Formats: sequence, structure tokens, C-alpha cells
Amino acid sequence: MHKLRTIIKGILSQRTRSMLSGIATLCATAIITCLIAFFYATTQQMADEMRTIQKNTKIVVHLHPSEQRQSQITYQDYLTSVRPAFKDRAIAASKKTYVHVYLDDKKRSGDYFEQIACDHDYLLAHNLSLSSGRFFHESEFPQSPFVVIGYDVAKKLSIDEQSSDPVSFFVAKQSHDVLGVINKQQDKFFYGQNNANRTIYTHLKTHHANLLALDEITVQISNPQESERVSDQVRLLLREKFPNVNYQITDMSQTAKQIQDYIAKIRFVLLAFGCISTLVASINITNSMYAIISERFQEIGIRLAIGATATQVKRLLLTETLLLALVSSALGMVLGELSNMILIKYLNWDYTWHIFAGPVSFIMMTVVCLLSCYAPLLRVDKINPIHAIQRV
Amino acid sequence: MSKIIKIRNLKKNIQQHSRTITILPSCSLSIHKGDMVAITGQSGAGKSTLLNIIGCLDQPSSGQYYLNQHDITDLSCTARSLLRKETFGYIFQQYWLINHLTVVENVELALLYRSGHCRSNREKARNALDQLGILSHAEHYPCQLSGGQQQRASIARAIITKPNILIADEPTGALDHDNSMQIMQILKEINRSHGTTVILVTHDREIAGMCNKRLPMETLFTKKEQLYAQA
Ligand SMILES: Nc1ncnc2c1ncn2[C@@H]1O[C@H](COP(=O)(O)OP(=O)(O)OP(=O)(O)O)[C@@H](O)[C@H]1O
Ligand SMILES: [Mg+2]
Repeated sequence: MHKLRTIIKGILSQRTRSMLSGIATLCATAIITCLIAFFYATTQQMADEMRTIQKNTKIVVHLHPSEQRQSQITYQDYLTSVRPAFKDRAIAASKKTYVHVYLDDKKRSGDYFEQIACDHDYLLAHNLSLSSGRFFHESEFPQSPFVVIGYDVAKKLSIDEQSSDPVSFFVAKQSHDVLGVINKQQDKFFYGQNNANRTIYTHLKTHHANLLALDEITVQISNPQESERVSDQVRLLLREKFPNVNYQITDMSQTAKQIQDYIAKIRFVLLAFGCISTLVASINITNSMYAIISERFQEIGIRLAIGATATQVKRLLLTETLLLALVSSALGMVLGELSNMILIKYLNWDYTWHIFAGPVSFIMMTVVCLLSCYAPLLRVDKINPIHAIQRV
Repeated sequence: MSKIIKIRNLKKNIQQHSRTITILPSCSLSIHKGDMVAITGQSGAGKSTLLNIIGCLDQPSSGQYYLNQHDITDLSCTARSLLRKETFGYIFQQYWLINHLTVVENVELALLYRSGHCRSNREKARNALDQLGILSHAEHYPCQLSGGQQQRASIARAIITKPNILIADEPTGALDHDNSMQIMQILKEINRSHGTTVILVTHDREIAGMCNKRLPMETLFTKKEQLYAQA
């Protein structure tokens, strides 16, 4: 207890320097805590992402629209030629103009999109909020402005896809028919049929047959390594059966890989940032150790003169620095964890909180502190007490 | 009686702006165990320099230094620090107390380094301060004391470890006559009861007279140097 008091007195004998050095260590620990947490979280996310990609790789064949009908693939063609060629792996065909409206976002479970379409006014009339999806502007579809709502809304309305009678509902004193609800995994996209009077969507099952031209065909791949082969297969098939069709193939696994590369780069920057913080903290500690030694040169000389060995003096200086570093990095750890928590909670950062980041950076800073003290402390061995006392 | 300290042609040079200055001309002396020696001499003669070398705080540039018949001229830093710890006690001309520690902590520190952490240290330190009449200032910081009080604190720090050799650079420089006499009594007492060899530097004839041996600086210089000094 008494010893601790003398050590604290030693630390406080250079109040400003100790405070600055403490604050620097604190900040470094806090930053490193955040970085470690973030780094770990992104690592996990990347692994998750990778798993999803492995499970759900697909390629998308974009079919370029053309003026001549013959050069396009109709839904019928798709059913008869394309789909059988890929068995069940050709999971969807779509017409792009309408495809944009699918509502996945947070209501998504796996790759399962659920949606119905209804009138914008209806939404307003029932005070339902559109959490995902979008309104289509009249200029986009002059004949029928519409809105797409989520499946949960559809459920509220008890609209059932299975029901054979067309469901109708009233909006703004007008009756509207709901032509279908899509909630099957295979039916990822749905296609509009222009009702004469504003609205509504039809179900894929009932109306895809009417699609004259497809914009996209999606093919599911079980293994990302296969994507190349499947792409070739698609090309072959299209060349053989639809020689006039212009198309372009996007390999989604490729896109995912690009995103991964991008994340990896960000992570590298993070890592570099962490290393720099650690380095700066370590330089700071080394520097402050040198400062202690030169500021307290005389005191060190006195201690040596009255019988301290160099080892005892070194131990004293080390204890003081270590105590300061421990206290400030403990505070930094708490600060780091808190800011982590706040970032996750209030800024909606999309990663989980890992408590271990704090202790890891705490231990790291302690080790860094010990290492940084090493070189300056070697100087104590060479001090001539009388030179130190007379400050020459 | 055995010679505890024997110095032959000891010399100290220092480098200043690439010039070599001799701050202690070659000198020789012997001190016996249990002696109480007063070194006198004019200011700037090199008394403090000589004491620092004797006390292993500094290294001579040339010459030999025998302590208890061992040549310790070229000892390593570690060995010197062990020697300092086990053999010497110092009273500095400028006191050199540690400013951020209280007087009693300063005194205790010498004990701590000499014999490790011990509960009785604080008590011993207070006794030493009592002996020197500054117990009432035990919890004060050095900057709150007068020069004389600081000097007495530094004396307390030096004698508390009961060193074999006590080195005192003008121990009474900042004290009035009565206090000086009292300090000298204490030093004499230590010298007598523990057989401590006391080497002190003083300008005061009366103080020098209280010692059983007087060594004026001029008599220490080796012959050639003496001539050189006179010329
Ligand atoms: N570090 C140093 N650098 C330059 N000159 C020094 C140094 N130390 C001592 N000197 C010089 O060496 C000479 C002897 O100094 P020293 O302190 O030993 O004298 P002293 O006999 O103790 O004097 P005083 O009685 O005034 O204390 C002085 O002229 C001083 O200027
Ligand atoms: Mg002097």
C-alpha cells in the first residue's frame, strides 16, 4: 500500500507528461478494441457470405430486347427448351420491367421472396406503411400506377393465393382485384398484366404464359466451381435453339467474389490502421520512457548514489510506466467496448458485439508497453551517478 | 590499523569542447579504518571531485584506487553500485533530496535500497530524523524546508544505513555554529561507536580541528604537481 503510494507519487511527479501519455494509451487501446471487434465481425460476415454464395450461386442470363419478336425468347420457349435443359436448376424467367419490384429485404428467409401487389391508395387507406419495395411512378407505367406491398401486409388482408375466386378489395371506393400472391420459392418473380383500371398484379402461375419476351433467365448452381461449365452450357443451348438472341451472362459468384475482394481490401486498411495505432502507442510509450529518464535524470542519480542498483531503478521506472499503462489501457478497453456497443446499437452497425476485443487489446497494449520500455531502460545501466546528479 | 582507502596518483580529466581539462591533479592519499578525516582546501581545488571518486560515484581518469586492498579503479557499473550500496554513505554539498518524496520517505529510501522492504524502516527513519532534530518536518517535502533542515535530512539519510565509510561534502555548510557542533558530535559518535570511517570536506577550521586527521588538499598532490601548482 505504502509502496503503491510512492509509485503513484513518482507518476504524478510529472503530471502533464503522465497524463498525456495515459490519454494516448487510452485512445490507442480504445481504437484497437474497436478495430479488433470490427475486424473479427467482418471476418465472420465474410465467412457467412461465402457460405451463402456456396449454397446459392447462380448465373443470370440477360436477354437483350430486340425489335423483332422472333429473336426473343418467350415464356413458352423457356418452359419447353430452357428449363428442361437445366432440369430444376433454371429457377426463374422474368421480364425485367416488372422484376424490379420484388420485395425481399428483411422479410427474406433464404431466397424466398413473398409479395403481392396492390394499389397505392389502398395502402394509404389502410394506413399501411411500405417498409420495402417502392412505388412506381405514373410516368413509368402510364397505364397503371401501382405499388407493391410485402407478404406480411398481404397476410393481414387475408389474401390467399390458393383461393380460386378472385379476391377483391376496395380502395377509394373502387373495387380492385388481387390476381395473385407469390409465395413459392420457385416463383421468384412476378409479372404484371395491365388491367385497364389502374392496378393490379397477377400471379406468375396464371399469367406467365402470356409473356412474350423474357428479359432474364436465372440458373441456380449447386457448386460455384460449376459456374463456368453451366455458363458454357447456357451459351451452347442459346446458340443452338435461339441463334438470333442477344444475351449476356452474369456470373453471380463472380460478383460475390468481387465484393469479397473489396471487403478484404477494407479489412486490410483496418489492419493497417490497427498496426499504425499500435505502433504510435508504442512509440509514445518509448518516447515517454526516454522523457522520464531524462526528466528524472537527477533523481535517478540520487537513487543510484544512495545505494540503488541499476536493476532497482529500472524496476521502479518499469513499475511506474506499467501501472500507468495498465490503468489507462483498462480505461481504454472500457471506452472501446462502450463505443462498440453504442455503434452497434445506435448507429445500427451490422455486426455482433464481441466482448473479447477489449481484453485482447488490453493484453496487447500491456505487452507493447513492456517491449517499448526495453530500449530506454537499457540506458539506466550506463548512467554515471555523479553526472546524473550534476546533470552533465 | 589497516588502510581502508589507498589512492595513488589519482587524476580526473574532463572533456570540454574537445579540450581536456584537469579538474583533479594527480593526488595520493591513504586513510585508515576508523579514521575521521577532514579534507580542506580552497574552493575549486577538487575536493568534491576527489570525494566522488572515493565514493565510487565517479571514475578517475588515471591512477589507482584500493579499497580494503582491492583495486577498484576499473570496476564495472554494477559492481560499483553494489559497493556504493554496501560500503558508502553520502552527505552531498547540495543535499540532493528527491523532491516528490517527503523527508521521511527520502530517509527511508536509503534503508529500502540497503536492506530491502521492512516494516521497521519507517520507525528507524523517524528515529534518525529525531536524532537530527527535524522529526517535526518528517512529513514535509524538501522544498518546504530550509537549507539547514535539508542538510540535516540528507545527513539522516546517510547515517541511517550505518555505512562503513561516510563521505560528507561540507556537512555543516548550511548550518549555524550550534547546529554544526551538534552534527559533528553525531558524526563523531558514529565514528566511535560503529567504527565508521568518516571523510569530510570542510572550510571551517574548528570543524577540521574536531577530526583526528586533517588533509589539506595541497599536501595530497604528488610532488611534481605541487611544483606545477606553485609555479
Ligand atoms: N562537470 C564539470 N565540468 C566542468 N568543470 C567541472 C566539473 N566538475 C567540476 N569542475 C571543475 O573542477 C574544479 C573542482 O571542482 P570541485 O567541485 O571538486 O571543487 P571543490 O574543491 O569541491 O570546491 P568547493 O569548495 O567550492 O565545493 C572546479 O574548478 C570546477 O569548476
Ligand atoms: Mg565542493
